[in-house]
Formats: sequence, structure tokens, C-alpha cells
Amino acid sequence: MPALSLRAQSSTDDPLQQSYTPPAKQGTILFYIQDIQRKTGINISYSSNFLHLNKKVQLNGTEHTTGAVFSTILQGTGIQTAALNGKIFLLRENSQIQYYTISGFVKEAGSNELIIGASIYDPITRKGTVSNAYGFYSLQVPDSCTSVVFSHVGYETVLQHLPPPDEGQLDIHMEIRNILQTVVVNGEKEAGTSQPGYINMPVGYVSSFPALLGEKDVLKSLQLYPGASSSLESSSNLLIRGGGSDQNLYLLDGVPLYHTGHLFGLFSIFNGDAVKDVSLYKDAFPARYGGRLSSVVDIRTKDGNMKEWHGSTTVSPVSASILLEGPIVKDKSSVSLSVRRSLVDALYGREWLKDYGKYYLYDVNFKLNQIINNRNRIYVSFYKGQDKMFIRSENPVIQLFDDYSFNWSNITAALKWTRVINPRIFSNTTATYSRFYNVFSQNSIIPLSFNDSLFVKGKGFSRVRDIAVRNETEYAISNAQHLSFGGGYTYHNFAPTAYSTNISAGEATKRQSPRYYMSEVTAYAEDELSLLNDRLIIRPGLHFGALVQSSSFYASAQPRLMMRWQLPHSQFIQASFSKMTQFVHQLTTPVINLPTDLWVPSTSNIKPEHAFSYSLAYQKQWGSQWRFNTNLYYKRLKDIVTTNTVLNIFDNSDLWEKKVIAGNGYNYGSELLVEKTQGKLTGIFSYTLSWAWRQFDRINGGKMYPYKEDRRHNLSLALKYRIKPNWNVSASWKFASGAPFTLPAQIFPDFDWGRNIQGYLDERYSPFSNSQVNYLPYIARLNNYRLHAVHHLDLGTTVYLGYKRRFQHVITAGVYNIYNRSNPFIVSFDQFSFFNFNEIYPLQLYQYSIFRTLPYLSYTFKF
Amino acid sequence: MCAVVLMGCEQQLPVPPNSAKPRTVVYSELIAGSQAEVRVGKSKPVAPGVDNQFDLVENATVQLMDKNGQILETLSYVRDPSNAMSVYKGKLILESAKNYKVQVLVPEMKPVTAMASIPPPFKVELTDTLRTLLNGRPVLRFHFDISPLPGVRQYLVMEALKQSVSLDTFFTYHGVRYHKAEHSDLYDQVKNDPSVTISKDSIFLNDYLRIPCYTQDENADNNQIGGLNENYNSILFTQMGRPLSTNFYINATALISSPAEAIAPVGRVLVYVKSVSKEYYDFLLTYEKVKRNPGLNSLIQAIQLRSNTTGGLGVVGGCYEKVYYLYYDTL
Repeated sequence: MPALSLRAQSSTDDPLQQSYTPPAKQGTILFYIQDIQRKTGINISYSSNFLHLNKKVQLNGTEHTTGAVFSTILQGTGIQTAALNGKIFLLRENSQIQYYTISGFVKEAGSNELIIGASIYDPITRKGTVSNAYGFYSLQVPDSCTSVVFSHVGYETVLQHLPPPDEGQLDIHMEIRNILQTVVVNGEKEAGTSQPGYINMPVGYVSSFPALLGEKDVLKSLQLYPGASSSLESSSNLLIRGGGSDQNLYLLDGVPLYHTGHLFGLFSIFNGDAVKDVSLYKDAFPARYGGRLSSVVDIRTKDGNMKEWHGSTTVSPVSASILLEGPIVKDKSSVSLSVRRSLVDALYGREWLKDYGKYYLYDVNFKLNQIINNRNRIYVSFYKGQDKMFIRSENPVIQLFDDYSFNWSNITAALKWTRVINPRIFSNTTATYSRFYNVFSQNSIIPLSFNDSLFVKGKGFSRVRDIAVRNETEYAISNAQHLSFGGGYTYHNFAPTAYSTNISAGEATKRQSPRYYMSEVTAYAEDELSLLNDRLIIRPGLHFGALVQSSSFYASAQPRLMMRWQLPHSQFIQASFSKMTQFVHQLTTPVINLPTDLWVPSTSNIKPEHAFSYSLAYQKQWGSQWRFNTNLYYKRLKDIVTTNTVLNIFDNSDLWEKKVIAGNGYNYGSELLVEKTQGKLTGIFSYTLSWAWRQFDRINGGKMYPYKEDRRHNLSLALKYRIKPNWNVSASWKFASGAPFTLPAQIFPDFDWGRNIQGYLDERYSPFSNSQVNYLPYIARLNNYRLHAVHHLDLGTTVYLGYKRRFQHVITAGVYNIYNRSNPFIVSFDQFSFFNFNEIYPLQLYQYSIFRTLPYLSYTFKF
Repeated sequence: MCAVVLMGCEQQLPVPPNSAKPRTVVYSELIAGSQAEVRVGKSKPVAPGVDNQFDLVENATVQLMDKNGQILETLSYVRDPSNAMSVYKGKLILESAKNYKVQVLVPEMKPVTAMASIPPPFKVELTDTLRTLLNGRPVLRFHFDISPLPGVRQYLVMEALKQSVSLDTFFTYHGVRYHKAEHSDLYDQVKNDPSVTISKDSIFLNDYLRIPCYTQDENADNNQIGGLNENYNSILFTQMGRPLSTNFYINATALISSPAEAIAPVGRVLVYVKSVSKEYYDFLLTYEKVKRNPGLNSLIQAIQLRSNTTGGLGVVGGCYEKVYYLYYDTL
């Protein structure tokens, strides 16, 4: 712009020298412009594109000409004045584009629920950002930018004109797009933050597809995606890229959890009603996360409606749940409470379960959300989940020697303080408490002689207790550079196993149950850089973790790197590397996802576990409806721990270190995802081709063998079709290759049997072994055989009644495993038998299945 | 509820085909001061139609060699229908601190060889025995002091068996000795004849009962297998240059046989303290795990047995042992 040439004016008729007395010392730029125009009649020409008209300014009191006033009010804006033909022009300085920061919270209209993962971007340059886990965003926009788009697939897009109306935060309220149409957010992020190794599920997604017994399950929904699978049919055990379930970091409102299964893992502890947002990281881990090897599952619960009270209750033949949310003080504080309980004992206990025992579970989620001011907010959240189970020894189906009871619970609590330090810096500080507690008991009658027996009443418990404080800070230096950093401290108190009985120990040594008190310290920093006009995004980071005990000290620097190269037509290629370190180990008892799996720390003898993950991905999006991505990954596990025997939980073993060995793991594979997120027909198709190997020096002759969770093919197809606005049908088909199983290559005479040594006296070596066989297995290779594949087709439908009225009704029905497939749950070579030592009988494989065709029905009332 | 559904959906699956051939199974404990005794059997490939009946191998050639492969003797087959496996015995007295090789040739089977070194003599003292209680069970406690061998790692095994005894009655009539059970008619006729003399004899049978044993010792390698309050086939120690002073417990229920209960046979109790070869020790350690839980279902990781045989299955171990005989039953 020829700004300088416009200054060729004589001083006498120079509009900038015209006398002018401002009416006030304070006002907006617009106020003074309008006042000068009104009082002097001078025409002032400017563009609101680059002039922040609502900016408040203050005069010195010495300004008596128009030029002097402009000089003061435009100070620091990069705007110059020029006069020509009696007009004043407000012009931007040459080669200077001014940026300013807009920031605020993205909220749901009507409830003020904070929206996670909304895209905020300049529609011209497509540059933007995404709202964080607290709904906060910070974006620097050029003064030439006239509007910003706020977009989220679950909500109507908002086009916000700039500049914003005042200097404060720009909080945006987004209307729900279609309350009945659940959509997936992954494909929507036009700001380019979506990635193949990251899955984000918004509220409602978990109820989109058919579910076992109609129970909405967050973790099972994640299993629809590539790279995520389960260990058994319809288990909520989440396995990521060949890692064990103990390698997932589960965060509930930022609080780590150690056991996530109800009913031995058939259902997860995350109540679908209470959950607002679920994020799963499979690779390219942000530096703020650490402590587990394979994945991070970050689950956020609902904050509560700030405007009005709402609630819902759901009843099915197996469970009931209630959700209640609303404001305590409108627009200031809100609460959300959800409760879920199984009904099996109440409805069927008398006729059906009395012969077998008793079982129930419940969950309570509570959250309080208090806005202190527009920059500070406090959250208090609480969760308790409980399972209680009693199994009789004298039940008509399985002959047990003992009565067993299991009683396990999780309690978590969190106090969070989020603060907008300035429009570019957002900080959250969290204090958390997490406790997992499992009490189990066993009543046995052990015969000592023909007329004498020992009644043993044993009781054991294991416990994990964490108290932690953590800070995370995000600093948007510019649109091209986002810095995040923070740190934390966790006090761990582990009591892995303590067992006591009613019987006199006699000569037995009374041993103290093991206790571990540890400090874990973490710190991290990460810088996300957009280079080459946003074509290249690089995110280097470093996570540091240390475990301090009286007997050992371990420290680990874990570099992280993510690089993404944007290609034309919404395509990109991404590569990432992460080192992850896990200081705690899970020692598993035989059955998967028992609450009796013990968590133990690294000690002077047992080192921390490490994972080195590499991934290479390609993604293409078509509009905001379709997404395709493919991913190659390789993950090397080092010093992973496994038990070298079958642990007996009914033993007070502080000598667990002698029963574990460390080795290596190698997981690799490829993933493919096709996803349609909008329209009448939505769905997911995912396929994973994968390998998972383990290698321990003292197992399988030191050679690699397939990990028990190795599955060659995993395939999911889930579709939902909206027939009418208030009626949809859905179907899902899941397939997983057979699990590895060790089948003996040969059997040969038992060592004792071959020497005429019988062993029937006190034959109960352990709770798991009740029979004696006359053969030994010769195992050529571990996990050399595959069980049958697991697959099932499920159908479901949901009908919404009165959805435009105050009281709404939702009916959900469906059928699980519609073609009645018998999927393997347990396969045993030889039966769980009670043959005696000398009996001759054929040896076969026995497959036990749990679920055949199972219908479900539930009714939800909402207000 | 799960159990109901689970058991309601049991399904037998065919064992997959397997082209593997049976292997020769060899078990032997080469005990210093004793004659070599080798048990030979055959494995069965796990294939459709497999059962748990094992054939005897009566046509094997079993040779004892020195460590260089020089044949010391060929063992002879011992025909005894009470044996579950075919037994071959030698005449040579085995020596401690010596290496032996066992070779077993079975027609149409792969030859099997195994090396075993018999450990040198070791000093064990039984300083005390006591009837007591351990976690509510009646037990018999032995206190053993075992001296280390300088510079030698000892692999120690403690176990207890009860050997059945048969109480036989004999009578002598006109100078001829008759077995009462075989000549019961004659016995009934002449038993009141004053010239008849009646005698009783105890015959120890080839039939044993394994007595569960226990330890409370943190240094026992059983801690790699299970807990200190569990029972085991044997208690295992690796001794490295330090004296071992430990209590060894055996279940006392089996010490005395009660005819009314038939829990344990009438017999004598044998308590063994053995020093064994490393390979044999490794086998016993894994055998203990397998017996506790073989892991033959899909939820448990299977345990692989260690073996030192080449070409076959089983184990050939060297052993120097001290045996304590306890007589609680009236024989």
C-alpha cells in the first residue's frame, strides 16, 4: 500500500492537525473514530478486518488534535494514519500482518457441557486448533481473518465473525446437531489433528451398535477399531497391538485405574451413561502420558448440565441405571450422578442362583463442576464400583471342593483446577486418589483321615492405593508452535497379597504380607511445530519417569516423536516413535482378568518394562464423511515380566520375585480402517493383520513363541442405518482368529506312575488341580495350536419416542450372536476330569462356550 | 451363572492329526551303590483316537556305558506284571562321582542316549524328628544338616514314600515250607497238627504311596513353583558352598495305616535325602510344576518338562542318596 505517498499534505488543511477535544479519557477505538467523525465531519476510512475496533484504549489527556488522538489509540497496533483529500485513512503498516489471540471454551448450548475435540479454524487458511480435554482452545488469527469456524460432528457448525465482541474470552455455544444421530469424531477434524493411532469417541457412540445383553460398554466399542481386540469373546479386556491388558493406562477423569473389569471382565467398569468422551492412543503418545507400554485410554465423565435438570433411567432384564444432572447454581455449578446396578440377584436369585451362589455389581459416578470465574474452574469427581460374588462348592454344575467368595472394588476421586492463565496459556492441576481392593475367601474341608477333617476358612486381600498430584500446562506460542509441559508425583502403596486362615499355623512361619511404598515422579515437555506452511508437523517430546523405593531407584527418559507430512486432498503420512516405560507389573493367575491378578512394583531384582513403538501411517479423508487410513507398526518390548509357574492366590507369597522371569516381546502388524461418520448410513470397517511374540530364556528353550493374545486376523464391520429420524437399526460382525493354545505333541508315562508310585494322599496340590493323570505332556513348542476363530453377528435397533417432548422414551432391542455360533471360551486337552490314576480313557479336546444366541431389551426414560 | 452357561455349552473337538512317531521313554535314577535300573516305555502322539494306555517295551536293548561310550553292561529285562513300565536291571554297582551314559535301543524306534553324573558323597545329619502340626495338618518334622562340598554346587532333593508291605504266612509240614495263600486247603487240613510250624514274613511290594512334603525354608527352590504353605512331591534346594540346616516336613497321616480308613497302605516309610545331577534336578523342578498344574487348557500357560535324553523322552539322573526307613505300622 502506498502509505507514505499519502502523507504529502499541507499542514493547514491536514485533517490530522484538526483541533479535537475527546469527550472521555477511556473508550474503544470505534468510539473515538465515531466521535471524531461526528464532531469534525472528517471522513475516516478503515477496515475492520485488521482493526480491533472494540479494543479499549486510554488517552493521556494531552491529545488536542485528531492526529494526536489517533497516535495514542493506535499505539502498538501497527496501524498508521494518513490524510488525503480531507480524509483520514487508517492503514496497516507495510508487510505487517497483525495476529491476535482468541481463546475460550467450547460448550454445548443448553447444558454448557464442555466439548472436547471441537475444531476451531480459519476457513480461508484452514489453520486451526482443537479444544482440549477441558473444552479450552487458543487460536491466533490474523487481523485479516473475518471469521472462525467451530466445528464438531456432533454439533451444528458455528461461524463466528471476527473480531470478537469484546476483549474477554470467546466462549462458543454449539447446538447439538441431531440428538438421535450418534456420530464419530475422528473423521471430522479438519484442522488436521486426527491420526490413525488415535481414536476419540464422543458421548453416545457406545450405544450405536448392538451390545451383549444391551450393556453399553466403552471398551468393547473401542474394540471395533483396528489394533484393538479382546482376549475372549465379548470380554471387555482391551488388548492393543499385541500388548496385554495390564499394558494399558486407564484414566478415569485423569485418575489411573488398575482393574477395569466387572464380572471377570465381561463388562468394563465404565458406565456408558456417565461417560462423555473416550480417547484411545495406540501410538504417537503425547509426552504427558507415561507408565504403561501399549496404550492410553483416557475417559472423561459428564460435567453436568449447567442450565437445567435432566435425567434418565434405563431398565433391562439384567441391570438398571439412573443418571441425574443439573445445575446447583445456574451457569455456575453443576453436578452429575449416575448409578448402575445388576439385577440378576434381585430378579432371579431365589429360583435360579440360589444353587450356585450370589452375584451383583454396582457403579456410582459423581461429578461436581464449579465455575469460579471465566478463567478458573474446579471439578470434583468420584467413582466407586463394586463386584460381589459367592460361589457354592455344592452347586449342581461344577463340582468344587470349596466355597469361594470374591469382593472387589475400585474407588477413585479427583480434584481438578483448570485455569486460563492468559489467552495462550492453559493449565490444569489435579490431585487424585485411586484404590483397588480385592477381598477373597475360601472355605474348605480338607480330610485328614477317615473321621477327621480340617475346616479351613481362608481370607486374603490385595490392594493398590495411589495418591497423586499433577500439573499440565499448554502454551500456544503461536499457531505454528504449541508447547506443553508439566509434571507430577504419585505415592504408591501396594499390598499385592495377604492371606490368613482360621487354622493354627503350628510350625508354619508367620510371614508378613508384602507391602511396597513407592514414589513415582514424572515430568514432561513437548513442542508441536508446524513447518513449511503447515505441510510438515513435528512433535518432539520427552517424558521422564522415576520410581523411588528404599531398596531401588529407576529412572527412565522416554523420547517421543511424531512427524506428519500433509499431502494435497486431505491426505497425510505420519511416522512416530515412542519409548514407554512401565514401573509396575501385573502377575496374572490363570483365568484372564481376574481381580486376583496381582500388581507388584519393580524391585531391585525386577526391572521396569520398556516398549519401543514405531509406526507409519497414511490417511485420506473425503470431505467430513469418509475416512480411510492404514498403519504399519512395530513394537519391541524389553524386560517384560511373566510368571514362570501358576500362581496360587491362596498363599501369602512375599516371594513372588522367585516366580517371575523377564524377557522380550515383538509385536508388529498392519491396520486398515474405513469409516463413514455422517449420513443415514454410518459405520466402521476395520481389519488388523498382526503378530505378537514373546521370548524368555527359560521358556520354550529360549525361542520365540506366539503370545497368548496373538491373533493373526481381526476384523470388525459395524453399520448403523437411520430409517427414520427416531428409528435406527444396526448390525455388527466381529471376527478374530483363533487364540494360541499349547497342545502336547505326545503324551508319555508319568514319572511317578512309571515307578509304581501312587499319589492320592492329599492330592490337592493347588486350587486348580483336582485330578491325577498317568501321563505327562511332551510339548514341542508353546502355543503351537490355534483354537477356533471367534465370530458373531449381532443385530440391534433403537426407537426414540417423544424425542421432541419433555419426556422421552428410548427402546433398545437386539440379538447377540444371531447365528448361534459356539465360540471357544476355554479349551481343555483332556477334561477338567476326576478320573483316577489308573483309568484308561480317550483323550480329546473339550471346548466350553459361554454365549449362544442371546436377545436383549432395554427401556430408557429421559427427561 | 457363568458356570451354568459354560457347562451348558461343552463340545468335544477332534484332536488334530499328527504325523509324529512314538518316542522311546527312558526313566532312570542311577544311584551310587546300587545297580542300574532303567524303565522303558513308549510315548503316544496326540492324534485322533489317542488314549492314556501305554504299552510295555520288552524288546529293548539297554546298555550302561562309561562317559566315553564304552559299554559297561547290558541290562536285563525284569518281567514283573506289577510294573507300569518295562524295567531293565544291571548287576554293576554304580559309583559316586562318576559319569555314566545310558543307551536304549528299541526296534524301529530312534535310539535314545542320556548322560548322567552321579554326585560325590555328601554329608547329611538327621539331628531331630518331631511330630507336630503345620497349618493344622499333622506332620513329621525332620531337621537335616547338610554340609556343603567345597567348590561344588549341590542339587538336593528331599522326598518321602510309603512302600506297601504284604504280610505272608508260611507253614512247614513234614519238612516242606508252604505259602499259606497258595496252599490254603492243605493249611486248613493240617493247621492243628502239632508238627506244623507257622511263620510270618513281610514282603515289601513294588508299590508306593507318595507322601506330601512341606518346607518353610525361603531358600528352597519350591518357592519358584508355589507358596510355602503348599504341599510338594519333593523339596528342592540348590546348595552353593554354605551349610544347609533345614526342617523337612512330611504329612503324618500316612505314617500309620488304619484298616478302617484305607488312606495309606500298611508298609514302611522311606525318607530320602538325595544329591542329584543338575539335569535331573531341572527335570524334577519342572515335574513339580507340571504335577501341580499341567496347564493343558487355554487359560493357563503350559509348562515344558526339562529332559536330558537325546532321541527320546524322559530323564536319566545321577543320584547319591541317604534313605531313612521308618516303621510305624506293625508288620
